[in-house]
Amino acid sequence: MGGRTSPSVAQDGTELPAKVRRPIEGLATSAVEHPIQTVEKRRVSVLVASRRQFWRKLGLFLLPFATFFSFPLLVLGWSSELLSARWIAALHLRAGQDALYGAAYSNPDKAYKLESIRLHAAPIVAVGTSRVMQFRANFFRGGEATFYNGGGMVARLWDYRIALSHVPAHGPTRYLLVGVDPWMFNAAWSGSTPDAGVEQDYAGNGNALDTLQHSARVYTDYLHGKFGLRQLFGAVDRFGVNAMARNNGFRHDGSYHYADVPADVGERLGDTLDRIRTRTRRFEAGETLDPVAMVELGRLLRTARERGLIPVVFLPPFAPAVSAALRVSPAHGYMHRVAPAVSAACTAQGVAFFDASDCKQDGCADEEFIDGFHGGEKTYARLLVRMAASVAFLNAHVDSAALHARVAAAPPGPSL
Amino acid sequence: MLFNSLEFLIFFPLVTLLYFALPLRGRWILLLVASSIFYMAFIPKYVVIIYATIVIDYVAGIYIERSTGARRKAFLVMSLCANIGVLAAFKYCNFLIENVDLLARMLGLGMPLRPLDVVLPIGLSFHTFQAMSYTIEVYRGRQPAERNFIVYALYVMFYPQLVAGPIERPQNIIHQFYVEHPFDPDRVERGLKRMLWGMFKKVVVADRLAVIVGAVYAAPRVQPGPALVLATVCFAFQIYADFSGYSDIAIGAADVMGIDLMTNFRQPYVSRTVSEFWSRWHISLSSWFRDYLYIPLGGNRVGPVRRRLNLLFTFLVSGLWHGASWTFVIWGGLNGLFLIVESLLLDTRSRTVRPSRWGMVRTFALVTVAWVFFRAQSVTDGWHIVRHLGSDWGTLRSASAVRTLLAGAGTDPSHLAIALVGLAVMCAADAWAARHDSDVVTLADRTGSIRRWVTYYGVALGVTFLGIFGRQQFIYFQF
Repeated sequence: MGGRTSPSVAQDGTELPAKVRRPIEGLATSAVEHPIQTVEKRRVSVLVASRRQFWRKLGLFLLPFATFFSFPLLVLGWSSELLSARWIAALHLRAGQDALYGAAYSNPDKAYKLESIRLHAAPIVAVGTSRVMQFRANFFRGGEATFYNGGGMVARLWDYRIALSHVPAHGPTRYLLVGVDPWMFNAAWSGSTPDAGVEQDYAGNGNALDTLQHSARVYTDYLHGKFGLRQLFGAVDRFGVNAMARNNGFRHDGSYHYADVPADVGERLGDTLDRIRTRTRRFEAGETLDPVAMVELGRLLRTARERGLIPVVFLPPFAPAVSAALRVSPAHGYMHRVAPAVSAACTAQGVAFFDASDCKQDGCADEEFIDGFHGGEKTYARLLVRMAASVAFLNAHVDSAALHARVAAAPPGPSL
Repeated sequence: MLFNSLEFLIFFPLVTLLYFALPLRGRWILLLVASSIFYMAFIPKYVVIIYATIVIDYVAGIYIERSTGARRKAFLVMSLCANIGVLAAFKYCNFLIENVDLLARMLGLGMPLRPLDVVLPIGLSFHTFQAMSYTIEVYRGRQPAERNFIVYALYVMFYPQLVAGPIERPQNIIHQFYVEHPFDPDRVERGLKRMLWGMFKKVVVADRLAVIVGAVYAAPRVQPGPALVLATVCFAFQIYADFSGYSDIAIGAADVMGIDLMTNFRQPYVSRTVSEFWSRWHISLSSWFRDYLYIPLGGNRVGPVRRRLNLLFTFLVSGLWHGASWTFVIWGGLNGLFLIVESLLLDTRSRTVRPSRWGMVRTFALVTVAWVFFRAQSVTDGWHIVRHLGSDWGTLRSASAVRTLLAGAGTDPSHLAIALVGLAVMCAADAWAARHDSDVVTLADRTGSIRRWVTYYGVALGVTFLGIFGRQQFIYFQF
């Protein structure tokens, strides 16, 4: 260590006189100790003792922390949940087509999707909340060379513009399928104001220590059997505990694979209907549209245009039972005003708009929904066929007849 | 690389252990490489800019020392121009473009100007000012030009203080790099404790308060007066906890390696006058402006009117240093005005304005009102906040009204309670340190061993389980 002191130099750094130096240098051969030797030896032994005491104290101080964090570190480290969004996006891209990324304790989704959009460099990208995540690359001619699903990269209306500002302007991505949720236009929704720190999320400045703070939950989840070590260590091409233990997560093309969809349709829709009844969790009551949100929508469309991106806006589908409940709900008057207002805003800027919120007209059914407001792949394939019929760039990239045939031939349920 | 990140938790012990294992020259190279890695963790390409200015200033220092007369001055001007040029290009160019564009539109001149697509390099203002202090000191003959390029590069790049100070002077730090500091357990322990205390301030106090401040200041027009007051007071403590926390970590990290950095904060909120506040707040920057701007402008040697104008000018420049926006200029201007009024009162009352507890409250209130403009996203937002601090107080009549207010401010009672407990701990520690004219770590070390262990375990547990390690960067990184 750095505390080395030459025998000819005293501990305070001053050089010792030659007379004093000699006996110390001859330490090995001298039989009788010089007083200076004794002082030096004592100093060295004090220093060594104090260093030992320091390491002992440090060890004692850190031991409880090291003990507590060792298991979570193993779980989170092995499952890649401590990696930054950039790393995860790169690893996922290099992994096989069946690779899944599903985190349970970290949430770098925004930066992960943004980085994946850059890495995939697909000309068509879907952006929105989790309600656009069922567009698959195999719906498009050229597969992943044509399409990447950026669903899950926004939560509020203000997020779109910030996210788009990170997509390379006039780059490989040219077309955007922009899904907007109706509650984004309800001033009474808890997410109806900008999120002050969201820029940090897109910049990928996530912090692994934030993930480690969930250590207590790692223990309780393990003890409750939510994941097992065998699942973790046996998983191949899986990143994140959710993907490793439950098989839930983002696919290679950015779409989401749900492994835990209940078989019973009533069970799937129950929670959403309950939200409508209790007017909570995105289904807050509201009568009028938020004018600030409408202005923000206009700014979003302008930003997209300025960056060389051609947007197509749509309102994602609700399950027919949910649509019916919203239609008769006395508390959600604003919902009926969203489509005309968004349509007007899009028309004003020459942007195509599709209202798919009531998807019965496309022939969808409750049983193909994952829950009341997340349609399955079948629902989104139908929506894409409808959009391709009137949007030239989509028509060029989608084989509508083949996709229609796939939907018709698919077994019951959300999957295609 | 953020101090409050897992990367730094691995980086710091690794670099420190290697540091003590290497001989002196090896340490220089290690620290320079480590500092480059630390800096490149933000935006890698910007390391080229910092090295370019290092080369310019290194060469300029040698030529300033060798030259005399006009040539000597010319080399200094060249070095200053290079540093200020980098600052201007990255920090002030867009500000200038936006204002010229606005003026042109007001005059009806159709020449739309687009801002440049540049990102401000992290900590640019800090390392630029540190580099400038070197060439100025060499020019003034108070510092010999550094011949060893690695040592000079280390003076600018030394990672603990690279991105947010303290802004060092060459006389204080360069000679320390020439000493092979031994592994001193007492010093290492002291440094680690200071780092822990700094981390507590950052992640428990600052980042919890930041949630409230961020929510309210993002949309101040929809917030009632009590929420604006809450967020503004929270910001006063957030910025202190954030920046002094960073300084503590930086000073502690350097201390572990045997290197002394200058004190940057001395419990500023116990100040009883605004001028006292500025002698306790961001000392390394205040003294930089004093030494290299205020005194060359005439300092206290000129008449009272000129002196006050110099003071105002210095604070306006200081505002601009913090950010290329009119909000920062107003913040600097307000502080300058407060100091001028204070000095006028002192002059007219023959220095009878005695410091008092009331003075502490008054100083805090004045400084906090100025902080509004520092934090606001625009001048109009800032002005709106100042005008509405007293509005809507009558609505706070029930517990549910308070809960609604907190929800609107992005917080809830439990979050606020943790933030307030952290704040109380920090303020109590500061008051303790101010009373004994010492620092918290030194005072804590004087207590009995059980109390000391309980204190440090308490702080460490607070950091681990009550800290927020999410998305908050250090506020001063943006400068």
